[in-house]
Amino acid sequence: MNSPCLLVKDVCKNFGGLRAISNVHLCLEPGERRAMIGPNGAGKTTLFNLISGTLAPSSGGIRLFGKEVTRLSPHRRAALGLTRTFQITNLFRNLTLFENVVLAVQGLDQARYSMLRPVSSYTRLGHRAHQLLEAWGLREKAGIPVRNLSYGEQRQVELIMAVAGNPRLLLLDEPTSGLSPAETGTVTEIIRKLDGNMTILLIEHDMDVAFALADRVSVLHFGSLLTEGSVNEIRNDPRVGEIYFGAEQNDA
Amino acid sequence: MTFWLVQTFNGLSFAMLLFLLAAGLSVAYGLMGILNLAHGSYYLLGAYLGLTVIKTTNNFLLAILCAVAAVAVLGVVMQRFFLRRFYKNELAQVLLTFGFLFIIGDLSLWIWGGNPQVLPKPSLFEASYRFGEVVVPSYRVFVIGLGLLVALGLWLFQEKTSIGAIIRAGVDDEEMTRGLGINTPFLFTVVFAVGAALAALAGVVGGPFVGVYPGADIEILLFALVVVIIGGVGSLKGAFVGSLVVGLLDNFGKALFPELALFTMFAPMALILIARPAGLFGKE
Amino acid sequence: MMMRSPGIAAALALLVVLVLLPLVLPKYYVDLVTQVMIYAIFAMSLDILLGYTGLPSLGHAASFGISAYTVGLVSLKVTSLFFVVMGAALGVSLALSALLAVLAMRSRGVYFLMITLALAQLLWGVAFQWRSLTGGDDGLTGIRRPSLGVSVSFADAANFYYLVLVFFVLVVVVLSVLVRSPFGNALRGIRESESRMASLGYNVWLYKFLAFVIAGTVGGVAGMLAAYHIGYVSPADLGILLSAKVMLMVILGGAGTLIGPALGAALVVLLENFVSAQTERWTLILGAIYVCVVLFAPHGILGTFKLKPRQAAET
Repeated sequence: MNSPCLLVKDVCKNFGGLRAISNVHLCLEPGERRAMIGPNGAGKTTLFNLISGTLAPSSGGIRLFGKEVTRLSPHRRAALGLTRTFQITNLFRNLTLFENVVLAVQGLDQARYSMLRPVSSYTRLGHRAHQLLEAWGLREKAGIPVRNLSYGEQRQVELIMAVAGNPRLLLLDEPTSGLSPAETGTVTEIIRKLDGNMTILLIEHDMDVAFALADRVSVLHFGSLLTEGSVNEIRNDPRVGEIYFGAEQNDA
Repeated sequence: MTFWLVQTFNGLSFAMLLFLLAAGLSVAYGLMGILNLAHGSYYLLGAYLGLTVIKTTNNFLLAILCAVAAVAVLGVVMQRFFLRRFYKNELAQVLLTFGFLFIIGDLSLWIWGGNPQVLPKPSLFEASYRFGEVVVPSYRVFVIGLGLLVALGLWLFQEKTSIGAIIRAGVDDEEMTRGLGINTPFLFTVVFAVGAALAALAGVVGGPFVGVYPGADIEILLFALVVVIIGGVGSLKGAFVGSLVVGLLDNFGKALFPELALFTMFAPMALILIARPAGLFGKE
Repeated sequence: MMMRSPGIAAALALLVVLVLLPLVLPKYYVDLVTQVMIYAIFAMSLDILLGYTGLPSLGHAASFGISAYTVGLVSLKVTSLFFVVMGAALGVSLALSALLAVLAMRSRGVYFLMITLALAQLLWGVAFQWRSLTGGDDGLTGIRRPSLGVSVSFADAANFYYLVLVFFVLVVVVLSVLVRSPFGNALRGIRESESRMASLGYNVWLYKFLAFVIAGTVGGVAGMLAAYHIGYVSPADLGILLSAKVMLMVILGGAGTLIGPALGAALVVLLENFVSAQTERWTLILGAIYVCVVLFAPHGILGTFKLKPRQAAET
């Protein structure tokens, strides 16, 4: 009997007097692709922060791969197989692309506390980094400081960093934000082709991307779950259009 | 009993001095993201300038006005041409303002010499009051009164005026405040100048009982920093409460445990920070 | 262990120069270079914290000073056997930095700066007031050069120079190895983005704690050598002026490069010695240097990154 990959049970988050997340219940099966949509301020990133461990819930519980993780810090959740990307690009700007990816690969490697041998002597790290860069077509840019890469390339690096450790659950926070239509298409394809065993929870503003990538969709509104269903169900649900566009006709 | 009263009194007058300094320091960071270690220099310069004016004119009020005006101008120059560029870049500000601290301190040493000096009290407050066995210098009463007046004035301004509301909003969430179009560099400069002026006022007013000497800038700065740490950055209420805590603790500490005096001040600070890393009233 | 050959060649050349120095230069200059090496060690230790991990501690003099005081107290009151004194001094700096780390790391941003400063000042205050133990404002005087149980006298400038040189080389090697290791690599990542590092699986708190302890212990090495060098310890060795000065050395030379801060230290020490001989206004000039570095050379001489505010993603 497979336990769910992610179980968010009745989670609430208050900031002072403000209730940011109200009794959210989320259940992801292994291998599932779930999109989370909702207007700005609905609490999607807050929910991500609760799942990743950056924030602690005010009440409720979170289970990851069957383990209770509600009070667990982010790095421990990463060790269980959870990674994320950030809505605002969060890379090691002054380091080269190669150095960035090596750090991502090193993260769960047992050598990460080693103080004696140089990093370069751990060839498996560099090897894997080159492998990843090759797969993403960024090999020639390996020596460039990340701050000098284009915005689109930096969003790709966000993704590379998150998948470097072969995660079991991947949280993607608006991966196509700020990208041109062409870049959006590229990134959407890359995400689609990710390992089928990897569970993905995706926040997206671009409905086309969200519907293209997801099996199921959860809709968040004012911090609580409005509804949940298959892509078609959500696409045709008038309430969803309403919360985005008001009571007027919407075109899906 | 006498002992406690006298110490409390002394502690309170010192606390008021600290408040004058801490208020400016705290709001400058809370509102403008400026950590100005040269704040102590404003105190030092205020005291020295006040001293010179008193020596030449024997007019305490004039001394206050001149010192405050001169230092306010200095504050404006520092903020507009130097500090503004390093918003929220604490490391750069630390080094920069340290540089100013050294420069101003050394220039003061050059101009006024290395001997500790004391400002003469204004003739109005030379008398002391007697309450039974307790002797209370009227000057100290003046300082406490002045401090409370300034505190009240600042509080009223912050709570009851629209500019005060803008400042409170700015401290709370400056990004939002800027976004609302209330990006008034002029306002920031004025606030900073007021902070510098208060520090200079503290220098002149504190001169008669604390004195002025090379190194006073760093000494008072450290006290002010402890106040800001305890009270929480950006909080006027925190600066007031913090000043009371530090002023009283320092006085009682020195009187009761002379060997550990400084420890009695820093230890509670460490304890408070352990319990509340952002100070008593600071925002996280 | 592969380092680029020009780097090693230059380092070896420098080593040769340093070894030959006392044979050619008069005592005054030997003393001066000794002082340079001591402060280079101090600056490099802060670089680990500030340049590599991105923790701007304004209280680094604490580990320097406490080690110096320990040297004074142990060698004056207990024993002058070097290895005992050294063990005590480094042990105390290690313990102190561990404690300071735990207390300071609860705060972030400007609070971190202020609390590191205040904690060092706490120690300064204790040293200043506790006359019976520390000599108060007068400090501890008459600290003799170490005795190693061999018939070499370290009161001799050249001999002491070589002792310091040994420590200097050791520190350079150890820290160079450290910053190239996966651990050092992780420190740089933390400097760039703590939140990213945490999401990648790194226990950021632990890394920062270890960085603090390592930086503090190496700072203690410098403090120990300084106490032996001058034979005198005072509260100033714990004070904010020293913390600010070593920070300047790091920024001036270039934070995050290890060699940069050593260079910065050399520059500041040499300048101080030279300028103080010409004029009384060294403090003024030092202040001007602070201002100029921030305004015109925030990279420092060898720097790879500017003094910059933390990214928006970081809070």
